[in-house]
Amino acid sequence: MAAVRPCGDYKVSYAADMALLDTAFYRVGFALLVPALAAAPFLLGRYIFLMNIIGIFAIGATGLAILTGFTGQISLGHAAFMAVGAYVSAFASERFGFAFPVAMVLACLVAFLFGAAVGLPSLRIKGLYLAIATLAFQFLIEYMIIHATGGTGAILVPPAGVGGFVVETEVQFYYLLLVLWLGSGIFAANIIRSRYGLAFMAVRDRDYAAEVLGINLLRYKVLSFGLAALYAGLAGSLWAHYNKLVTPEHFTILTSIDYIAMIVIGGMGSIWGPHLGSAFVVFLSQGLKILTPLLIKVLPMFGKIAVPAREVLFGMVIIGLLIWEPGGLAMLLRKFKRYLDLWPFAY
Amino acid sequence: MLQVEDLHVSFKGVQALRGVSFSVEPGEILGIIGPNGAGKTSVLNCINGFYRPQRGRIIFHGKEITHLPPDARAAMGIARTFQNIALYRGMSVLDNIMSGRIHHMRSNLLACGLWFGPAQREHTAHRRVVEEIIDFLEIEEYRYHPVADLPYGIQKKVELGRALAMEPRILLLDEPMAGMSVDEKMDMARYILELKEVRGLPILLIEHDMGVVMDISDRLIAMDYGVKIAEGPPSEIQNHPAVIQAYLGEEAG
Repeated sequence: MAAVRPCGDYKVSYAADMALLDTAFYRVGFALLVPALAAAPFLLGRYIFLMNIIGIFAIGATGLAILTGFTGQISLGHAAFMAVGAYVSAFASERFGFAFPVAMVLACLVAFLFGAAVGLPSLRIKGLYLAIATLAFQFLIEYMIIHATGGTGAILVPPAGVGGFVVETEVQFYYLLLVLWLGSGIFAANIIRSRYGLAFMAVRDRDYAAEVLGINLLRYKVLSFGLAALYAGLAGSLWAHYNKLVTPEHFTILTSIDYIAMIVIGGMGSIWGPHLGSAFVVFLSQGLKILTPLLIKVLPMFGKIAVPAREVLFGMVIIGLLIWEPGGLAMLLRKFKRYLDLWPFAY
Repeated sequence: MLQVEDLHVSFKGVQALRGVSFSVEPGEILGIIGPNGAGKTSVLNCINGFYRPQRGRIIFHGKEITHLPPDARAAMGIARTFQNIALYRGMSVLDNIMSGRIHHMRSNLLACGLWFGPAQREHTAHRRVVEEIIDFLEIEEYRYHPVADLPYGIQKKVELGRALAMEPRILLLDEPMAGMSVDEKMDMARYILELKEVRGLPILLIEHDMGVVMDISDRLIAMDYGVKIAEGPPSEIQNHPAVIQAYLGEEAG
């Protein structure tokens, strides 16, 4: 919520003042965004697979935004929660023949339990030490998956489907995803503006002062871990049914770091951040996949540098953002909005 | 309503409290004075649960709370402010005060995530209470400001507001006027007196400004080196030889 309200936008009820889309800019923006997202398959054509990847990772990143951005608990094991969701969903549908919605809900629930369990030590270990503990969880899950499945850990997964309808094409999957993406995004935004969000932020900003307000630190930290894992589990389940194949390589420490890059680039402490960050990271890594071979063709001497170009660029973007705009893309969006509020005047 | 009996707290050989006993009566302002390091803040930390005393008991409304965790005591109605402001720096004034309402709210996670319906009604009702506190403290203009950007005096007010939002049954104030201008101190004294007169809220107050603390307290406790050296009405404490000695080092005159 901005300290300065635009002229003429009067709130006449507390409910209106607590609205998610609190100014005309966001209301109009959202009213344009939803039809644009719905029309995306017609606009993007065969590139719609980009939106599918962005959407799945945006859901996962929303979980990490709740945990790290709003509750202030660092997790280096977010991909492991995604793996839990993916494998639970895969096992449930492949081995036990559950329908996709059932498998998905099951994946979310199991991931929630895993998250809550990982969150238990967070009462005592904080900051970097918690990061190391979650890192241990990351490797533990990778190890467990390889040994539980035997060998490569790869499982074929049946495609997603609702009722008798089977999702086969990218576009069909996109519409399924879009519903879940919007739904889970709005759900998270509502959580953040509710008493839970306030408690999470209180824990983040000053934990002992939160305790004095009657906030049980353990309860809210565990809940935050659970929610984060639930979102990651949902993303994992969707990922499994989207690729129709799960392997542990999709959920390594690199994916966990990508998630952190997403919420840092997108903007910590913003509910738009994970979506913007996911889009940025996916566009950048997919773009580089196209650009790097081109670059090597034109300038062969860059061959050695071009291979890790993605990591180098990520690093540069994150450092640049931390220096010039710690609020991330979401803050840039907000500043752009402020600029529009006052345009054409400087102040 | 709040009895503190024979509190002992020590940190590896340093005895912060050595047998402090007192009680807070309904509707009174009890001031605690004493030189730096006398153990005033330690007493508050024991009452709200940050310290576990090695010996002694704390009884609140007839229930022993000595071994309850801080959040359970907060839920029983013990609210406090801190000497060094402990606001949530990333949040607005409104959200800071609203966070004092969290433990009065009942909406579950699902209702909150869906928002429309019960959760929205509940949050709106609590927002009304928060707005009343904002009116009371005259900080309407800062409502949407992030607290980190606000002047010190306003931050102190917001912290008081956050404690009030809990609808406490006792308020512990740790140097609410430290570092304030004379005007701000007068405002703060007015709020504290109004809380006592209008709401009948008992207040335990640590304050270094002798003028203020003598004026607004009903009773005073003087502490030095972890023990209570005097207790009584302000006029009596003012001329108490032990208090004068604690502050000036030797007998006056």
